[in-house]
Amino acid sequence: MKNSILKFLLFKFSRPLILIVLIIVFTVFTDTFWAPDNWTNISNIILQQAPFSVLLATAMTMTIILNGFDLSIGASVAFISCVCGYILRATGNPVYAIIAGVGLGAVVGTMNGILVTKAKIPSFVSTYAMKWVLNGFALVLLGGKQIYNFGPKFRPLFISNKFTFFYIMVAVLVIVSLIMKYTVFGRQVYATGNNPEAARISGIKTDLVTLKIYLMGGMIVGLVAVMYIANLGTAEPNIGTDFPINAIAAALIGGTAIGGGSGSVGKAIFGAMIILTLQNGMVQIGVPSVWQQVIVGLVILLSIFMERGLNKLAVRYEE
Amino acid sequence: MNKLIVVLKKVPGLIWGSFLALVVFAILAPKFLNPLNLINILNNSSVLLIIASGMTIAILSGQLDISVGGIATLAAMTAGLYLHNVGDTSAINIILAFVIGILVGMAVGSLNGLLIGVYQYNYWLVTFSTMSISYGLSQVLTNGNIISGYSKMFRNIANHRFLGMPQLVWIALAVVIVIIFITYRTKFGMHIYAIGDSEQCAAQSGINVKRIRFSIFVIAGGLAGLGGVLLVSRTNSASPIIGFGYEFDAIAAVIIGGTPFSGGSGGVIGTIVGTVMLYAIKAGLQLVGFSVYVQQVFIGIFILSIIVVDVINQNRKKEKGSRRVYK
Repeated sequence: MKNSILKFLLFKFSRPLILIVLIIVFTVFTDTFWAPDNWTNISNIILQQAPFSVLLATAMTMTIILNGFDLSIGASVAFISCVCGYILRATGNPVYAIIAGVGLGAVVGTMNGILVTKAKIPSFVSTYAMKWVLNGFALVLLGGKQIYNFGPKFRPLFISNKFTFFYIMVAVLVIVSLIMKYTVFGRQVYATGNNPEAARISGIKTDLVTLKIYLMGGMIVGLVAVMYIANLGTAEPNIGTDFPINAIAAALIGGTAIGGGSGSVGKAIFGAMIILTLQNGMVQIGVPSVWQQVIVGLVILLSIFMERGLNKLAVRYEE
Repeated sequence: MNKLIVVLKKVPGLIWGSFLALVVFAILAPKFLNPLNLINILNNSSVLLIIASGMTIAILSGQLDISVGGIATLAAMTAGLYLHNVGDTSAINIILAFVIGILVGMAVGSLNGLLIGVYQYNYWLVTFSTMSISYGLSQVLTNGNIISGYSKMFRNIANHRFLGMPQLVWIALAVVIVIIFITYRTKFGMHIYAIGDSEQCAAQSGINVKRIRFSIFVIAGGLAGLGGVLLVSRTNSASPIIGFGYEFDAIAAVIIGGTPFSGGSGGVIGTIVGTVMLYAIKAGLQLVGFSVYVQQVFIGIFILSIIVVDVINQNRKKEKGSRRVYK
């Protein structure tokens, strides 16, 4: 009995545990990852990298709850950041850029949503095709060049205070998790993800729910694109190729199950932090950066193994 | 005459649409119908044809293999590295390079097959992660560098002309004929169609679904590996992005060729037409004078609309079918 309670706790808190173990391992084996008098690396992860990874993982998690994927997020970031770069160069007004970024994200998200709901194309095929189209548009806009010089107002708005990205992330996460947990819409999303047919029969407009989720995801991605060029200072059409796979790996290792109906903002946060810690720690230990893509692929495989293993454990516990 | 009409009616509408596009190109760019251009189109489409025929059997069984581009790259890099290290002037080494490439492909394919076929994990996620792993390993092999400069003997395998066509075209043709024979004339082929039609029916009528699914991914992987090595021979360089985008083109070629995502109908013959059409349209866009970037947008939108049309058609057919049942 005691053994099974331990197993249950392990099951429930496995992700935080993985994160803690990773942090301890990297702290012990390297000098640069974390030390009481060396916070640069950790603050770099939390303030510079986490806002992007966590927000993208959240957008991905929302589509996975509905048993879909969004492979266009990388290309969306590339395309939207190029358009925003253009707008900033022409007007220099950050407000236009932010509105255009989030608005374009909403448009791309809606198009993905329409392809998934109305045309009923499997989401990984439609968003993958969308990725090529958006990448193409970004390349047509900039022709393989970079764009910079965004005017005097835009970048200081984001980087004058180093906590700005973090605050934006927290605000978005709070809004999304409130919507998912405490609104009728949020309940409808989980119902639709769990069993679309049953949800439809009980009166939920599943197509509309799906469309709204892709719309929300698109808006988050648009926001990330604006933050991205603010952070980098340049916009180029070739960024973001590894965003989708990192986001999927983050969502899945965070404990969001494929097949729909499960997943939350909290899981996305832990997943993204696990991936970030792993990638950062590997670099600190001295693994060449070319290995990163292999590691992310292995993490996805590992997480689907883990999901099945934990499910079996849960079934045994319930018995 | 009637027979001809029946046969023509069987040709999927997408092929007619692509055919229309070709006529437009032929009018806009007179060079399009130049024999040299036509041979070039065939030459360009050969590698995709080999990879897409593997994709066809995966889609026929109702699943997808997104890792083919990654597998082709990994096979190209391993074979390229092997030839670079042991010397590429002896016939034995070249044959061994091809064997290594195909074996690498089959190894990744059997990992796919094991996880998807035997342990029944989500096919899309598994092949997506093996795609990432293969691209990553190709980077690791040479630290992201390109290996180029191979001997004439190795380059000739793809580029030497035989009966007026590059040998690559003949190799692709031979591979496709074998795959056509397997899918249309053997028990294994019939089982692929049966599984694509209804996995449950197939399992209950005694087909070993796990084994068939496993073999499908091994074959798709092996073909992708062969395609990768041929790419090295054709382009005289092995780069860690050599197969980038082939998975997308392969899916597009299969869908244009009339094999639906739902599986169970269509076949490799359609894929041949689909592949050639895809490259003909690419060549046409180039001849009309669009930049590479505009081409990518056009091709992307074209493929996306093809997929939309195909899926809507299939859904309509399905609805018609169910209406008949409930009447």
